[in-house]
Amino acid sequence: MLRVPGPVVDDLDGVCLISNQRHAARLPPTLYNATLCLAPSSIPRALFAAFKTASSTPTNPRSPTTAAASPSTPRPAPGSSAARAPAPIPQPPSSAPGPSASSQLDVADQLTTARATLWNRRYTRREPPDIHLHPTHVGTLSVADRTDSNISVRSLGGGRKIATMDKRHPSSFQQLEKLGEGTYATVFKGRNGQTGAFVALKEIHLDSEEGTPSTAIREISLMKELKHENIVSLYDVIHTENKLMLVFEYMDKDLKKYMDSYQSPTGGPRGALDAPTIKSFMWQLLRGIAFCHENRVLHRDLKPQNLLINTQGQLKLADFGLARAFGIPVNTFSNEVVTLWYRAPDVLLGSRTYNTSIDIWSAGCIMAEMFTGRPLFPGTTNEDQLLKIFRLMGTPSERSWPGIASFPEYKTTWPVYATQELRNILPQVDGLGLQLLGQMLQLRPEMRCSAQQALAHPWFQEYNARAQQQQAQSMGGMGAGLAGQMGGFR
Amino acid sequence: MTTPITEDDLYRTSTQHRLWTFTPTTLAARRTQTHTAALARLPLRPNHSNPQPFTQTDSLALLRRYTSQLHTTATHLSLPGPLTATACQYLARFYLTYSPLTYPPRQIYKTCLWLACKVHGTHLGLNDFLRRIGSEGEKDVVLAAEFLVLGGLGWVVEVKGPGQGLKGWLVEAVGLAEEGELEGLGMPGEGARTVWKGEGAAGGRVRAAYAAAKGVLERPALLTDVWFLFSPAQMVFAGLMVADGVLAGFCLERKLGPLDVEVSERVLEAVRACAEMLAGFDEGEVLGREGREEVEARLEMWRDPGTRDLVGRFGAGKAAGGQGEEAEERRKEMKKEAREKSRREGDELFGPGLARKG
Repeated sequence: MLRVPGPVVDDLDGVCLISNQRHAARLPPTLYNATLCLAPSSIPRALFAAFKTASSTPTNPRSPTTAAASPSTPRPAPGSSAARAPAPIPQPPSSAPGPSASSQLDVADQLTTARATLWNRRYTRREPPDIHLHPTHVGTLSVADRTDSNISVRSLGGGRKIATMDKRHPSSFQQLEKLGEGTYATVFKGRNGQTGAFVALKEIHLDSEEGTPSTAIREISLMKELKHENIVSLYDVIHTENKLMLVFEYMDKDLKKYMDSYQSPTGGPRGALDAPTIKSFMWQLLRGIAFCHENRVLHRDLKPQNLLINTQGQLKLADFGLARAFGIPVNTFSNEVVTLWYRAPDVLLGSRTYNTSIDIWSAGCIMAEMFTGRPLFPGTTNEDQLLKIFRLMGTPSERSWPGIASFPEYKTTWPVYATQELRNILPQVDGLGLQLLGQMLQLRPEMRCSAQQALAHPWFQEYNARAQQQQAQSMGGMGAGLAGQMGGFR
Repeated sequence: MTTPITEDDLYRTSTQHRLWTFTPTTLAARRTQTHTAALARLPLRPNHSNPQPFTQTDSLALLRRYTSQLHTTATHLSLPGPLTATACQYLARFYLTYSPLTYPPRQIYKTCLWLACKVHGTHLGLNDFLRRIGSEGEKDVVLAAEFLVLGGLGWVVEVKGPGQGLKGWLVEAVGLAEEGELEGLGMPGEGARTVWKGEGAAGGRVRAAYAAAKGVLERPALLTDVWFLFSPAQMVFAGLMVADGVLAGFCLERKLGPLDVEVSERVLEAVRACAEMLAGFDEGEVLGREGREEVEARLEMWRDPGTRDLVGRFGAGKAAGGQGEEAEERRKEMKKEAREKSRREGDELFGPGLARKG
């Protein structure tokens, strides 16, 4: 379909955003530079300050008073610092109101510790063990001056000099605990130094031979193009000479962890979710997939671990490292993608010309898993995966799937399984749900429904009604405008 | 059901439209701003007495030369057209952010091609890539500028071009020809680039126009500003206008259909302006080798000394990173040892931990 967009030279305000942060619009073009530095000295002091006077210390990085919103900051992640800030540590009873700094230190000196008791010189000649506990702070990421890229490059001094760290700098991030590790990145929880909002920091492992991994470039690229409420947002990209850090919106759990920790109100089996939650998650998942597909992007690696859930029950697609834009050609796709359990049979059969339908298969597998709490097809090898699928869906033949014999992985030795009824395997799913699931879990890729068709399925009737209502409201306004225009034209 | 997005909506949400599309005025302003900022960063005048300044015109001429060089190299390596266009656009976009005074294109253009190869998934290793472009041993040169280029692009690497649109037009136009819709169209006008001279069936005319438009969109489009000023679809029809104005006009009219007059007038205006730029491109305007050397000599006199040692800084950064990791490892090791030691001592003092039951 070829259409000529209206002239694109209109509606430009003359600024060019090169950051996804709005404030950069008015600044000269910038290069993002940052330095990652271990700053142990600043942290104990800050903690100590919190310890001494939990009431008012501007240097305290955890103080909720730093959560003031700024125009430069991304919208705060759910459960931001105001709500999450740790309760102030009670002051030692002996501390008098408004004491001077030195008297406060005296109070600290009077405190006793387990260590002091255990290795008290009065009772033992043993040396105390050489253990010093540090706060769990891993490092602090701060973005150097953004207004002048060259100066910031120089001030880094080849990565050896540590730039001064300013806690109140709009884009400094405190790096907290590790959330996970993948093949090409490590993800940390982080905190925006200014707003206190949580973020996810994805540190990309750089390849000294090949430079920035193309997976990272691809992910950044796609995340910059895909802005949708069911796709996790990329706030910023920060780099130094030898580190690359992606700043993402923070989500509380992935779907896998969500299911593991889920307590069913109706007392269902462990790991299984209740029907309304599943419907909401499936609606959101399919909306995210539909948006990707409309933008000509295949996710290719949908699995519960890549679907993130926040405290508001929002579900977002994440981890686009394996995703790719599907223009032409399609035949160069690698078949080494998509985690085995959620991999579509055509991919398992060695197809290299797969399309959007592979994401639909994964969505179907995820839907079944949410109902039962167990993966639908937990295969161990490519072959085993295929057989697990056939055991349920029936072994395909040239009659049921014309052309199957030409797939590279086609075997004539497969045991012949009969097709099972989905309702026997998934008795907990309602009739409409089973119907939709059946449309998604089709062996032949061309028989699978599209994301748009799935969203239009009667199982989502209430969601569709709501969406239509909202659309009607917004269209109402637009329609009036159009009518006015037409009237003027006539 | 959510409403499907139209192609136009899709394009309007793209980074290319949002971030890298300009009006002629805003584009010129952006270039002037970049040039002025680079000049302001220069510490002092060069030592030479009364040197000729390095102007914005020099900067544009030099860029055009390097874009041409990129195009030639990529064509020589028979890299696909979209990849070549991506690389050339990286260079063009990068120099909206930086001036050649800060980072001379000689240091940057290979990295642009390298990144385009990565983005287009050629799975070419760096050594292989360097061997093919005849720059063995320049590994650090290419890698040193990687983050710099990506940063200059604002980490936006998606470049949309007219290639697919043109193919789509071919399919549609061949259909029209088969249905006999193109009979009775006037001959291509004066100056049309198509080789078709009225012989044979309409299908031949379509294919000749396609070939001519492809040529126009492959090279002149990259060496002019059309990518910054027009959408890919506008470029497709502008290329066709240059190739065979009569045919392009007919197809465009059919395509626009019953749009209201104002809108179709605006579209036509944009397509015509784009076609004019494409047709006006003169290969002779690209600097020759001598011209390039002359401009680069002047650039050398003026360039920012602070950003001179890109490769050296990259090496230092890498070394610092390596040491950092080693140090981290050592720290971990020491921590582990200390933990073990204290556990042993604790065992000696209090006796070993209670054995787990069962």
